[in-house]
Amino acid sequence: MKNEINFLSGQRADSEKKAKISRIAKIASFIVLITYFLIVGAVFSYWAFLNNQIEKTSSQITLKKDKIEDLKEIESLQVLLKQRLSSLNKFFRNDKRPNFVSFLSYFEDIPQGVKIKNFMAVNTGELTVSGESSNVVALGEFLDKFKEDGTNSLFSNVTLSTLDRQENGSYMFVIFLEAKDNV
Amino acid sequence: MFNINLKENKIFLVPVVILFLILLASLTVLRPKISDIFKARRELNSNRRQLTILTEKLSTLEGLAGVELNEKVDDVLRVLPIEKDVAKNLFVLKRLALDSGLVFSGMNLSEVGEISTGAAKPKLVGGAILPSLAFDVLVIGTQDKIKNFLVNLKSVSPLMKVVQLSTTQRKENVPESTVLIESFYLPLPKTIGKLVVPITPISREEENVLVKISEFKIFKDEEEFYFATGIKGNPFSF
Repeated sequence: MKNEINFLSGQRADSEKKAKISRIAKIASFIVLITYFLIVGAVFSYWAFLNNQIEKTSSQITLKKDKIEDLKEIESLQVLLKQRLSSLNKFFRNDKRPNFVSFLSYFEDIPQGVKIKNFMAVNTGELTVSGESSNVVALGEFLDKFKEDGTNSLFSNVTLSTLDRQENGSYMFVIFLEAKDNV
Repeated sequence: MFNINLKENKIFLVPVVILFLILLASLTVLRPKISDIFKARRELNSNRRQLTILTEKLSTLEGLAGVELNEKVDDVLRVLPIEKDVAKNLFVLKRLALDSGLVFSGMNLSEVGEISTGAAKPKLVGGAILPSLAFDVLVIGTQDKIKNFLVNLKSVSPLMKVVQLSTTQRKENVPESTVLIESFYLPLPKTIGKLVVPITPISREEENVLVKISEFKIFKDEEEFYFATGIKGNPFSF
């Protein structure tokens, strides 16, 4: 019997291995390629979707802007109203108008013999009152009124600035007063 | 050193070419497209924000009644006019003095400045909230009448405020008073409504201000008044 020896079996195994690698490489490449195409497709689709959305929102914006434009007059009135009301609100909140009426009323009730000749009040709450008293008793009574006022709520600071005795025995006086903050 | 046998490595040619093409396509097509996507997303977000603002603004505007709004604006403009209205102030002060039983003896205006201030920048002095025009009003009458005048002045259109009160006893025993009054105005806002700026709603406090000023006294019909009282020569009737 004749025996045959195959000297090429090592070469075949090598080529089979190569063919297998080649097949795997090709399949893997195609899978990568298909995946890549899918990714590219997804990217393009998303981009197209975004553009479509932008277009939609832009047209909605234009539509709304047109409608707002039609209501421009109402908007202007609203802006004007808001501007004025917020300024007035600020004004009233910060407005510390001293009560000039209370000041005038305060000097209505004065002792007989005392006469107010000049009265000046400023909105900062400062007052200057000048007058004449026919006698020293009336003047004393008048000045006591301010002492009493130390306990009530109108003035915080009272200064007798000038006191002049006249030839006829009367007294000329000037008084500075500061109103309390809450007046 | 590196001897690459092309024939032996032929099997890797297809994957290498494919990878090269993928890389090339990524650099030339995919990368710019992804950057476009980021830009588009930003634009879309900005559009959506704008759309929300516009939708809210539109619904607010549609909810505002034109007639009612006009009335409210008329009220605030009467109390706070857009410019220094010398004639109107003169008329109102004169009417107020007469209504309080005082004799309107005279008026002095200082530093009037520009009269047409509708579009001018107001000058705010010393932390003032509103620009104003100052008048010295000279009135003659008893203390009670002066008090009436001061009380009425607190709620009259246009908005006024007493800055200084000076009373002198005259020889006839009737006091003569000089009242320094500030009359307030406010020019129009610089911009009247930008499209994509939302409308600021009127707050409750501001609504209260509206109620308060709606009770302010209004003196109407200057012409009628001048005719009825026989006072001639309104120096400011243009």
